[in-house]
Amino acid sequence: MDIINLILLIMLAGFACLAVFFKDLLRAALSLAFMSAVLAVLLYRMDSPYAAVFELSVVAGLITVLFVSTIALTKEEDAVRESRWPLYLFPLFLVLFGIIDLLVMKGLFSNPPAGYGNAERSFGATLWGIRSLDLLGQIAVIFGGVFGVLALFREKPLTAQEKLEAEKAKEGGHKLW
Amino acid sequence: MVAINMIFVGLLFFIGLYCLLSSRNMIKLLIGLEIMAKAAVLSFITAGFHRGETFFSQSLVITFIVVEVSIVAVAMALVINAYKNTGSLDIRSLAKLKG
Repeated sequence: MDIINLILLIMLAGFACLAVFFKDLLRAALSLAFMSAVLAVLLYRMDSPYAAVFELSVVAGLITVLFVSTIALTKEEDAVRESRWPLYLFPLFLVLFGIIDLLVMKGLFSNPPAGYGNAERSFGATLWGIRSLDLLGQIAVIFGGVFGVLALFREKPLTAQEKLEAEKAKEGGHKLW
Repeated sequence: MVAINMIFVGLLFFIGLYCLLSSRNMIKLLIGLEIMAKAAVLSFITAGFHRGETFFSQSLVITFIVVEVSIVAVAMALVINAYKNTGSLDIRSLAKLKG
């Protein structure tokens, strides 16, 4: 058992707990970014350098930027009031789930690996050859995401009456948007 | 090694699920979803490492990451729109929406 991998796994779980229990959203988002960075190191250590690069650049980078921008755009005066019971019950549930998890996973993965080996000689051949249809799906998903965001931020031009109402609301100072 | 990894996959999935079930803040819900996604990524790579098919598992993970980014981008846009309409990040405020 590799001790460094175990330390990385413990760090991963620790950052996940911090991301869940930090009240400050910005700190929670940064914990998530650190979690991604630790996961990237772990992936690299498990012979998966391409996945590690994607995890580090896209998830730790791009998704953190998305989170931080959303947090900056949604500054609210009163934070959402969370109930207290999840914080107190969490350790109990975690230990309970951990014991079940330990028993199930040890039983499932105690057999030696089947060892089929990589079918192709390189990652490029696998991605562009065997999984080439996945790439089409990825392109569709990217366009779906882009058009989804565009559709959600679409705004119709204001009429003269609506502009007047918006001005009045601005002067009154009680409407946010 | 593989068994330990899969135990942590289960733990991460549980932490994410717990966040989804217990939190009311929409951004916190997305953070919970992200934690569950990381558990899935670790699971794919561990399975590939276990079977010696790391290329195959990496190509799946890259596809998954692209899908994940799209989901987060659209979800963030929805959160901002909901905030514009309700002035709050509380998920319960969405129950008041009509139409």
